[in-house]
Parts: sequence; C-alpha cells; structure tokens
Amino acid sequence: MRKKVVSIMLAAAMLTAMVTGCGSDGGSGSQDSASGGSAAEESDSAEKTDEADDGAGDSQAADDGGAADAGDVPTITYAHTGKASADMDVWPPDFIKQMEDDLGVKIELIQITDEQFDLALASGDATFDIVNCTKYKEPQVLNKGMAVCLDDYLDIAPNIAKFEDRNNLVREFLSNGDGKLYFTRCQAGPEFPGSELWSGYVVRWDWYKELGCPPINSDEDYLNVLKQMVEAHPTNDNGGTTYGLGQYVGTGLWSWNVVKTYQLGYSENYVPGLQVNLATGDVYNAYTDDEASFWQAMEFFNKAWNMGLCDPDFFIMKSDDLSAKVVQGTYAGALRTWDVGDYYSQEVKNDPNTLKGYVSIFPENGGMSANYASNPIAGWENNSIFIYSGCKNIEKAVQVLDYMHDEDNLRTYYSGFEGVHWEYGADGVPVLTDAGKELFANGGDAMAQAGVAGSSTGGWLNYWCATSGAVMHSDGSMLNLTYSPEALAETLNPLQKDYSEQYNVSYPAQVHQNQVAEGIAKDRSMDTKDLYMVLTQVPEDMGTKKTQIEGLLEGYIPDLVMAASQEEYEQVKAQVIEECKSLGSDDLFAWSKEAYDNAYKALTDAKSKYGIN
Amino acid sequence: MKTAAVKTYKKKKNYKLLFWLLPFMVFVLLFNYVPLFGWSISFFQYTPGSSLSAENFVGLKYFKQFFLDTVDMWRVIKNTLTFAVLNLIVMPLPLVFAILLNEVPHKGYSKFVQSITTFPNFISWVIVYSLAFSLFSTDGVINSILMGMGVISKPTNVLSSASSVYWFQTCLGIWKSLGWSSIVYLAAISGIPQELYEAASVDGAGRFQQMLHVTLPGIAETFIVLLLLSIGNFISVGFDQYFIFQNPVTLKKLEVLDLYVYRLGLINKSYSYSTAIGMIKSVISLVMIFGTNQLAKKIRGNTII
Repeated sequence: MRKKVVSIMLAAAMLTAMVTGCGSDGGSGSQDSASGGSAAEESDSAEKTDEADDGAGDSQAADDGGAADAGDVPTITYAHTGKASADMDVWPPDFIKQMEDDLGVKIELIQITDEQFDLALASGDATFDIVNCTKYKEPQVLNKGMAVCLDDYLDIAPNIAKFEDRNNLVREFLSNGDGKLYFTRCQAGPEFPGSELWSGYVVRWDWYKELGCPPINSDEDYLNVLKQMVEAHPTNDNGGTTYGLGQYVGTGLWSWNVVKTYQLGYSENYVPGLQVNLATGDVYNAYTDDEASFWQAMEFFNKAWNMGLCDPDFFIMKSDDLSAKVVQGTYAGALRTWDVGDYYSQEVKNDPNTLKGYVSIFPENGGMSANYASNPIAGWENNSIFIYSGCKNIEKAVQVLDYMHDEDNLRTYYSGFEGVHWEYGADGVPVLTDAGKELFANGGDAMAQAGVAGSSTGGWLNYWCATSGAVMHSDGSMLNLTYSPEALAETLNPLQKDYSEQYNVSYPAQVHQNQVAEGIAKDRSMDTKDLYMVLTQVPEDMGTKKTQIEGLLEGYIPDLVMAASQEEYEQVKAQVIEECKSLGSDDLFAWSKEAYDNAYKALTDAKSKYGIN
Repeated sequence: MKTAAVKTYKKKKNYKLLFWLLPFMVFVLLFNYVPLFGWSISFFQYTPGSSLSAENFVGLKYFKQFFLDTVDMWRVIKNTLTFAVLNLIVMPLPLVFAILLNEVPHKGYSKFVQSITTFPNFISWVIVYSLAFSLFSTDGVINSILMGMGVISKPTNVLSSASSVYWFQTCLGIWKSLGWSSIVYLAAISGIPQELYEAASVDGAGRFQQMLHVTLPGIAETFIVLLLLSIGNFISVGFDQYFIFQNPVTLKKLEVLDLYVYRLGLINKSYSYSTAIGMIKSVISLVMIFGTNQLAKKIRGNTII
C-alpha cells in the first residue's frame, strides 16, 4: 500500500512538473531567458535602483501610482529585437542611470528574437513596455491594438512633438489609415561619414606610397596598382604568398555587390530586383541590366581574377578565414576597409607610427560615390518604436521615449557628460575635454561604464535615439562633438594623418567631401530611405522569385569571375541572364518598378501635403 | 476462482505500469503530437505574427508548388538522394570498424583508437569547416606538404571543387561519425556469448571465420534495426554540414532539401511552403520506414515495428 502511494505521488509529481514546466509564468519566461542574463540582473539592478532612488525618483514614482514593479519605482522594460546586443555586465551604465534618476524609473533591457516578437504579435500579449520592431510588422501591431496612440500623450512628450515632419510621415504611412501617431523612429537626420570612408579603391598605404601614390581613376588603374604592389611584395610578413584582393562568402550576393553599389551611388535594396541610380533617378533591373551593380562587380572581379590578383580561396573563405589572412599582411588591396582593419590594429601595437594599414583612394577626377550623407526624415528603416498598449505605466514609457528625443540628452549620449567629457568654451562653442577625447579614443571599460554611443553597454541605444549624431544642437554644433573637423583631426591615427597630409585635408573622408562640394562626386544625400516606410511587404511569389534568382546568380559567380576570356565571360553572362528571365526576373522587375513608383509618388505627395522639403 | 484472481491481479499490475508510463505519454503528446497542429499553416497563406483565422485559406497550393517547382526542386531532390544513397552505401563502415576494433588484441590500444575516432562526433561543423580550411585551402597544410614533396606543382583545393563535393562531404561525414556510430555495434558484439567463439574455435574456425560466422550474424540484427531507422530518415540528410560548407562553387550540389527549406522558407519567410515540404518529408519517411519494415519481414521473417 505504501509503495502504491509513493508510486502514485511520484508519478503525479512528474506529471505536474512537466505540465507546469511547459506553461507560462505570465509570459515572461521565454523573454527573460533570451535576455542574456537580464533576469539575473533584475535583483541586482533593483538594488542599485533602490540606492539611486534616493533622489528625484521618489516623488515622481509615488505620483505615478503605477508602482507595482520594483518598490516605488516603476520599471519600464525595453525590448530590443535582434539588433545590437548589450553588455549586461555593466548595468545600468551611467547614461541609463542618469535617465533613471531624471525620470524616476527603472530601465530594464531585454533582448528578444524576431520569433518571440512574432509570438507576442500572434497572441496580442506582451511583457515589454517599449519595443523596436522591424519593418512590415507595423500593420499587424496596429491590427492587434498593441500600440499606444502617442498623440494622446504629446502634452507630456514635448520633444517627440517637435519632430513634426517625421511624425506626419509616420501618421500618414504607419497608422493603418487612421492618421494617428503610434510609432517613433530612430536616427533621423544626416548620416556622418566618420573620419574615413570604406567604399573607395582600398589599398595598403605603405606599399601604395612606395609606388609614389599614382592616381587611380578607374577599375583598370586600381587593378594595375594592385598588380605592381603584389609584384613588389610577392610574400607577406610570414613568407606566404601575397594577393591583390580577398573576399568572403556566406552573405549571398551582398559581399559581391556592395562595393559597386556604393561606388556607383545606387540604392541598396528598396525593393528586390531593382536598383536606382540615386543621382540620376534611373532605374535598373538588378539581375539583368548591364548597369546593375552585380554585373559591374562581376566585370571587375573577372578582370582581377585574370590578372592573377584574387586569392585562390576567393570563393570559399568565411569572414574569419579572411581575417586570419589579413593579419598576416596577405593583401595589397581590399574590397572594403572594414575587411582589413585588423591588420593596422595589429601592426600599431608593434609600432605606434606604422603606416602598415589600408585606406580608401578616390578618383582624382571624381565620379565615384561614397557611403554617407543619406538623410532620412523618418530615420532608419526597419526600426519602428512603439509603446505596448498593455504597459502599466504608459506615461512613464512616453517620458522614456521622449527622453531620447531631447537634444541635451542626445548630446550626452553622443558626446558624454557635460563638464566631464565636453564643455562650452569661452566662445560658447562646445568642445570635447581631454577626458572626453580620451574616452572616445580609448573606449574600453570607461566607455562601457559611461554607456555612451559606441560603447558595449550603450551602442544599442542607437536604435532608440531619435536623431543621428550629425544633427545640429540648438547651440550650433553637432550633437556628436567627435564629428567636428577639429575633433576628427585630433583623433587621427598616424596612418590617417599621413594620408591626410598627402591629400592636404584635415581627415581622410574630407577628400571625398571636397569632391562633393566641388560637384564632381556624389554622396548618398539622394538616398530616399523614407521610402521603406511606404513600401509594402514583398508578396510571397515575388519573394520566391527573388530567392531563386539570387541563388542562381550566386551559383554562377565562380563561372563569371573565372571566365578566361571576354568571349567566355559574355557567353556565361548571356546564359545567366537567360536563366534569370526564365525564373521570372522581368515579372519581378515589373512588380518592383510599380511598387517603387507608387511608393515614390506617395512619399512625394505626402511631403508636399505636409510642406516637407 | 484462483485463475480469476490471478487475472485481476495482473490487470491491476498492468494499470499500475501504465500509470507509470503516463508522464512520458504526456511528454510525447505535448512535444510530439501537439506541435503537429502547426502543420495547418501549410494550408494558409500564413504571415508570422498573425492568427490563422485572419489568413487566407489556400488549400493544397504549397503542395502543388513543391511538385511543380521544376526550377530548383529536381536539383535539390537529386542532391538529397545522392547524399542519402552515399550515406546508405557507407553505412556498414561503422560495423566493419567495430568488428576490426574488437579483434585488436591490445585493449589499451583499442580503447585509444575508439576514443580518437569518437571525438570528432563532438566537434561542431563550424569547427570542422575551420579545420578543413586549414588543411585543404590553397595555402593549407596538405597543399604545403604535397608541394614541398614535389607531388603536385600547383595547389589543389577540394573545398572549391564542384566535382569533388559529393565524395568529399561523405568522407567528412564518415570521419565525424565513424567512432560514435560504432559504439552500438561494439555493445552488440560484447553481448555475443563467449561460448559461441569457443565452439567455433573447437570446430576449427580461425579468427576470420569466427568474425564471419559468429560476430557478423551476432550483430546483424542491430544493423538491420539501424538500417531501418536510417531509411526512415532517408531524405533528412541534415542541414548543418551543407550549410557550413556551401559556397558559390559548391552551392548547386550542396543544396539539399533541408537547406532549400531554410533558404526558401526561413530566409524568404515562406513558412507555409516550408511546412508543406516538412509534411511531405514526414509522409515519405513514414512510407519508407513501413516499406522497409515489410521488406525486412519478407526477407528475415520478423519485423521491429
């Protein structure tokens, strides 16, 4: 009898454990587990918040009345969907701590996957208060009634209200037609180039200088320069063979297309199968037109291959394999500066004044576009931020969103704390202090503790900031003070300094900026990124065509690149284009063109309606 | 009267046993059967984040798409079947390896070899790719050695050779799984009564004959069971290996069904289509497993299902 009771109890316990194990603890379980330790952080940060709460937080939290979460301080949970991850070992960093003190809240960051967000969408039930969702999800969010209408709270969100143009576009295109404001966006305003550009003709600077810095005005010039460099340096630092260019695979067509897309000044991916020349507005079939970046790239790679400049492992290297060769000094040039940045980082440790590194060269006579200056009114595509309608502290959540629209807070995020990292000079112009210069030059733990832009703890806030750092503060300087020409010049490394002296500029990117000012080159200021907000989701059949065509093109890349003669290349090209057409590339282009034209017209009409330039 | 009492006792005992089974039945129900409701999305034009009631019912559209896709499907099926057949051909290798390992007289050496060959099973395919790149790339170890010895004058690169894809990937699979797969055969061999070997020895059988007439029949049952299970998974040749090793050169030959479902279903977000393919795969697997079971019954007179 005793055995029977024990066995029944054990079986019942197992059954209960299994069933309850599968259940939900109010929906938070799955998200907490994905938060990379945020659950573990919760108690810890709750203690920290209690300590920090002695100041401004008390009264506001008490007033709020919704303080069910952590003592008297309401918690606002921000869900970050699969974008930049945050280092949770230092939480809250100083910037978040200041926000918590200013607003009387506790900020909790959780990272959720797109699938977890989809699950929340399907159920209409979520555990986050604020979330940044990807494009095309907005209609579903609104259909489920998950987003708080921000128009009802603009009186407590004066900074959000200031973004009239953006808000009007969002009301127009992301409201399911009811004309109300449900979403904010991030990174509106101009994209800053930084001190150097990645998309020109990338060469190893010390070897290029040995050749006397010959002008590079075309692909042919570039390949000839690379050839001379390889001939002059047939072996690398470890005695291995040197090559002109390396490449990595695993990103579909992207790693093959991207350089030409930016050099030619084309749109990257408004709609599948279509490319727009941003300067002229000409539209190309991305798969079959000669002008498309894919075919321009293939022609370039074919020439490089036949000149013996490509690494024989061109088609098999993953990103890590390429990096391993880069640090051995294997390449005379590169497709993108970020592919080869590790080499300089390694060499500078041995010799602080080394010139062994890579730089972008732009044609002297201009004509090449570069990767900066897009200026979206409604910010980055793929990032629509909303407050969940089930949020228990909507007003606090609105204030948190508003906080990242305030120019002073954005200045702090981008440039550090006033009086510590920057200060107003005698002329009233804000400048970085020595501590600020050191912080942004050295990064590391100090930056992580600060939680400012570019730090491991605060980088994710880029997806929360209403504007880019290149937007002007009302004091007349950019929000990000490290972007000023003076600050850029001061933070150059010896390689960048040498390059700047060679071309008589303050910092490397200025070479191209000067060309744009002269009108002989284009930046991406014509990149109408706001179109993404207007474009609708690609229909499944068109998406399938895109996937099939791009799979086909990727499979033919080796044949195209390794074609031994122009005749063979043209033959393969003709065959590929024919097969693309048989897969429906013309149908896809027709759909894409119509979608693009409609979106462009709708955006233009909306801008006209709201008087947006 | 006594018989009835015994029957009642046995019945009670059976219920008790069934009761012990209950948690596991619930487990199977929850995790193996309840998810089957997810198959229903293959009949709808499903958008992630939406409920099915809000979606368009499209009937068998995605099943037709699978059978009518002449662009990719035949190539993908051909690749899948090629790898499946190759895997089937090399399936006896762990068995042979186990028998040979069992014949090694020095137990320490035998254990050492077993450990060394089992270890690769625990290495992820990402690491395997890195190892393969270090060994077989143009500047890799193999090329350096062969060129240093004057065996070849130009580096060769099996990783970017479309003609070597099938056998190279199969060899990698063998290298990774040989030791691990042989464990079950080694266990089966250890279960063969020693008396049989002694009897065979008395009858004048040498070591090879003992292997052939005692060991092999002793583990044949295990082999059949594993064969049956592997045939059930015939078209599920895997994903990781092919995903990691694919590059523009090998893409056309490495795209197996699972990879195709990933590319079209997850990258293109065509969840309904990928679910339909998953259903078709399950049906084919069921047919094959029962077919093989019947075949085994005809040949050997008994079944395992």
